[in-house]
Amino acid sequence: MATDFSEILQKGYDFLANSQNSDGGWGYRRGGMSYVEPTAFAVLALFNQTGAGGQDVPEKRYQAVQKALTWLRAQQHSDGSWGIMRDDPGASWMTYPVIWMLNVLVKIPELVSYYGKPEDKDMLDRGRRWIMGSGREPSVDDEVNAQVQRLFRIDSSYLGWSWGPGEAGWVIPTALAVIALVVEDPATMPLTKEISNAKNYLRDRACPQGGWNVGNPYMLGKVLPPTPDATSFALVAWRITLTASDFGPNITAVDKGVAYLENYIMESNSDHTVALCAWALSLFKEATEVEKYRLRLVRGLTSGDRVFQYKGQQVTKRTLNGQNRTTGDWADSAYTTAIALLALSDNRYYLNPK
Amino acid sequence: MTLRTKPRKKRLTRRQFTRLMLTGAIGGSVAIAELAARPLGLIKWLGVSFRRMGKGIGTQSKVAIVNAPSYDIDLLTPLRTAWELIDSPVIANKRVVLKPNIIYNLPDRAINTHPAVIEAAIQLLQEKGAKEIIVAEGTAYQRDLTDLLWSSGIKPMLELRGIKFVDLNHDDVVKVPSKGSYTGREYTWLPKTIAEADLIVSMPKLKTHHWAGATLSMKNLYGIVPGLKYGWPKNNLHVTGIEANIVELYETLAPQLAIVDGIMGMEEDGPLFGKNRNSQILVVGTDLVAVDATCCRLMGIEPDKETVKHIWYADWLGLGVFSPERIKIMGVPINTVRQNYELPPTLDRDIKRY
Repeated sequence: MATDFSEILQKGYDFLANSQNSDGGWGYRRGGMSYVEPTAFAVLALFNQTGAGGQDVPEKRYQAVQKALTWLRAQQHSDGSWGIMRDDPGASWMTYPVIWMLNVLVKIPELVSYYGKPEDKDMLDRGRRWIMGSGREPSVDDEVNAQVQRLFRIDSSYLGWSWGPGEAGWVIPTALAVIALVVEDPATMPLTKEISNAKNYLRDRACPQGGWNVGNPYMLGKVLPPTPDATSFALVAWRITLTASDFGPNITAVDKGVAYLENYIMESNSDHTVALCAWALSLFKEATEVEKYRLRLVRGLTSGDRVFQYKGQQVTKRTLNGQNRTTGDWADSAYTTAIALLALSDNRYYLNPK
Repeated sequence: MTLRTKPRKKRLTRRQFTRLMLTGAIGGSVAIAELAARPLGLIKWLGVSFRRMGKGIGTQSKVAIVNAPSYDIDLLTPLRTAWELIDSPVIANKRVVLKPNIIYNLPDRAINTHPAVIEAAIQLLQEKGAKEIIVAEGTAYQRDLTDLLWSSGIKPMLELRGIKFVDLNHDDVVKVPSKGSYTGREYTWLPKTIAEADLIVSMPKLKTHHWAGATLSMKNLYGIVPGLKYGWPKNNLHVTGIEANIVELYETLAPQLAIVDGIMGMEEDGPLFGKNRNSQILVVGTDLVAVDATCCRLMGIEPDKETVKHIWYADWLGLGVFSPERIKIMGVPINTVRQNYELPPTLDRDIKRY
């Protein structure tokens, strides 16, 4: 019988509502300063029929989402972008998760009725325009492209999205930008040339052994291994853009990425990384496999502590703690908790599990 | 009849001629000086010149080199010896942040500062009465460094010692004015942990670097700026000028001590894929320019304007000294432990954004 995660989810949603900063945002750790990215992710996690996006849920969660949206709306710059936090006047990659969240908000009638504001559509449009313009990396000439191809074995004619305006594209911001721009059923999404180009970018940046890293599969001829964070975000981007036309090299890259994460999730000592892996894998794997990952995420290490060696001394430590049963959080972090809740939920309005 | 005479050409008087020549000479000299003073510009160059004069001619910076045959021996003793040889800073009652170099876990490659060296530094600073010791890093290639910390042995060691670790990439941030403004940035975002530290200790690995020539105690400061603002792998700092960023960070952060892990160094294609080189030394000093220049010489590299430009540049700006005549080597004579490291490949700066 499938495990019921509803109580765990409820505790997690309550943690988000209880750990919100007084200004309406969330930080990367409890009590830390409010940043745009964890705030957008916390709202996305709460946009759930049993979180704060349905009827008969605690008032505090509604209020938390309202406060967070007010905080986020106030941070948009005149060019449509967001900085990383309130006092940051620069445009940043954190625009992508906010636009993702706004895209979900304006598309779901229930969410519009609870949280929508007339200006949301305009904010979304301006944010999307910024992403399509300044968020993308600038193109390079043929000479530079040839040199990059020779040294890094990547094709710089495929343009990704960057951390900041004018910089090179990297895998995580590219994946986040794609997720922000699409948020559709792949069957009906408009495959713009930018999205098509982004898929080529992600395929091109895939590590030969499977998975993704920051965006350099090779460095001067040497293979740079994948990392779970970039692989997870890249797979989420693939999940929402895969179509029948991707059979071939694109599907191969995705399959290898999934295989890499399946191995990594069982070895990781990090609650945050396990949450990311479980989220991405929940979009690709069958229910029985997904349950296995979810249980690891919730329970952490259950069969004894892990033993590490340092200079002959043993360090015995439960490194993977899972959910804090008392407070409902993961790693005392709203950001990690939000991703864990995305990984555990079947009732979200978007990106449903396989 | 009136004779029309041809109008006489107006001749310059001698005084006018002299004045014109003098004005031209002054204007030309200013233009030439402005060009020569680039990238600083004349005004800043004059400021630098006064600072260099203020530093005094003939003063020497002490750099200690001590033997340390392996990571398995007691490293506190050689480190204590080095400490006694330099004009060491006051540690008592200070909040000290140790900034090692932690990048990637590639098996058998000497990439990261070894935990045994960090441990010896912790022990030494505890002996000297530090009020609080924090180990902190903002790694460049992945967002969650938990697994890297455990697998590198650093986290097990910190657990045994009860020392706190801070992820500088996701810390709260503060905006501080950029000293020198060599990059054109008016201010730099810094992690709060760093801004509130009484003393920063840079703890790099002895390595070559394919972009910067060598990565030592000054280049190690790249790991301090938060990825949230500058992205991963922080290539924004490459695009805006590697040398300018290194010296600007050095001047802005003002670290007061460097402890270089030169027990197992890396030659050729550093900082990740080079070959291990067993140098068996620790290098300690308070003038990071002098420490880095000495480390280069220990690798058989003369840090001139062409090879490791940022060291030359930092000396030229009066931030420290790099010429051998102005560095007093303490402990082991440099020629007894010098090894000729293979140089890193030379790369075209046009592609540094990748």
